[in-house]
Amino acid sequence: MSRKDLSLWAVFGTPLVVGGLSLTGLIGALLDDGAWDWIGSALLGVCVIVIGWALVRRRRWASPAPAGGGRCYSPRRSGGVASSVRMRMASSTVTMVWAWLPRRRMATLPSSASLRPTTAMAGTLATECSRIL
Amino acid sequence: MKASTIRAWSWTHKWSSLVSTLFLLMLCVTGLPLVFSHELNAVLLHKPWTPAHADGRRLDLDQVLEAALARHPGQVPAFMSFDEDRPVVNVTSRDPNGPAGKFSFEPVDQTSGEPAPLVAGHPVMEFLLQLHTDMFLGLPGMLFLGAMGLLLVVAVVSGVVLYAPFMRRLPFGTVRAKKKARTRWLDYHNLLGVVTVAWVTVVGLTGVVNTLATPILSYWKDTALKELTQAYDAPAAPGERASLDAAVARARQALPGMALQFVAFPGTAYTTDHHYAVFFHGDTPLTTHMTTPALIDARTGELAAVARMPWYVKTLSLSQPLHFGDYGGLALKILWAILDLITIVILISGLYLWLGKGRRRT
Repeated sequence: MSRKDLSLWAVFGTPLVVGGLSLTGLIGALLDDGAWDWIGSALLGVCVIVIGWALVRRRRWASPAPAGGGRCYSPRRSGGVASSVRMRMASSTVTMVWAWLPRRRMATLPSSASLRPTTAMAGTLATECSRIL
Repeated sequence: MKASTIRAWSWTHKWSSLVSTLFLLMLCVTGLPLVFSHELNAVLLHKPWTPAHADGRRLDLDQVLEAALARHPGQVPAFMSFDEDRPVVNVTSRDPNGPAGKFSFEPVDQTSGEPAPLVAGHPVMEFLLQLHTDMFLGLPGMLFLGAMGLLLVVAVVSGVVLYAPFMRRLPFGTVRAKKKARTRWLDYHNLLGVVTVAWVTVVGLTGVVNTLATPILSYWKDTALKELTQAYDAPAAPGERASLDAAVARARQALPGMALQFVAFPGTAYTTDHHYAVFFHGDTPLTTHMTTPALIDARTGELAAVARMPWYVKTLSLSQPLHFGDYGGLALKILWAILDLITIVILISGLYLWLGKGRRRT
């Protein structure tokens, strides 16, 4: 199957958006404290979420459709579901679907306020100097 | 893009990556625990401690300095810093005849002059930090790692350029899972690389700036502070120095409203041979990372100058948090660690792709 070349925007659009959000997060967390620490982390975390999304999609894409066609992405249920090997054997055709997956609930960032260091050692000269000197 | 152009970028990407991969892997592996150095030090060095006289009068800085140096005979003071959450003053000293860069670190209870337990600088963390900073080679090691950082930036730029021809027919995020391993890992390499490009570039560039710390500070001393040193022929010997406590008090008067961060003693990288440099930082999130020193004449105790940092020293100051990721709480640190691990995968997958290519040819 031949495919047309994608436009430059189609190739670089998502990476540009993810990169922009990452930079905003990196600088935002530096410029302000409190809420911006969390916003900055969330914005930087977008790149991890995008990677997670791609990996989940890959796994689903790798699973062939069940025999008889129908849905490409069969939900896994406990019990009574063929193993992936049997599914592959039973499947006569493999359907490739490039479409954007239905939205999934992303894992939220852990609420770790209680884990945050409660004290700051500004007297980190030894560290600072050994980093620099 | 012409085939010859792609070949040129491909050559650039291959060699900039290959030359630096081993060192970048070392930096990523040692950088991982360093992201959590505060937490790891707290765990490794945890020791219950209370000051000898919590509500009592505190020793002045000269007394603290004397108590610290008494435990390191023959050494001269290099830096003094102040813990925020306990009445402890940390004195960094060095042997004037010893190797450069070798320091002793002495936390002192300011209420009694007795030693206080360390809260930073566990030997394992110090080892990793030194390996990460200069591979135990001093300035040449730092500059070498800086060159590796520049190669990383070249590899990132050439990788982004090559991303377009490789992905021109594949939607973003494609991983051809059913293809052979090399194709699959090429997709992983492209996906992980392009998504983390902003973070990798920031950490790489700020790392390069950090490796230039010594030349930057030397340049600052040789230019901005040059006039202050012209009046003297010889460095201020420890015996002819004015009171440190009075010097810090004088510096506080010159920079009211700012927080005391550390004192650099004459002869160290952060000051001249003739001045105490008393460093203060601001109270906003941004200015917390930027210091301003008041230079106090070490012989007379008089204020010599308030040396506002030039842009290149400010750049150095801002490069440190942006490189170490220790400015946005634990969530940011966890993300830093995840992105560091992803970078390790990118480096190893790049190596695998190159090795696979060579094997295929043979």
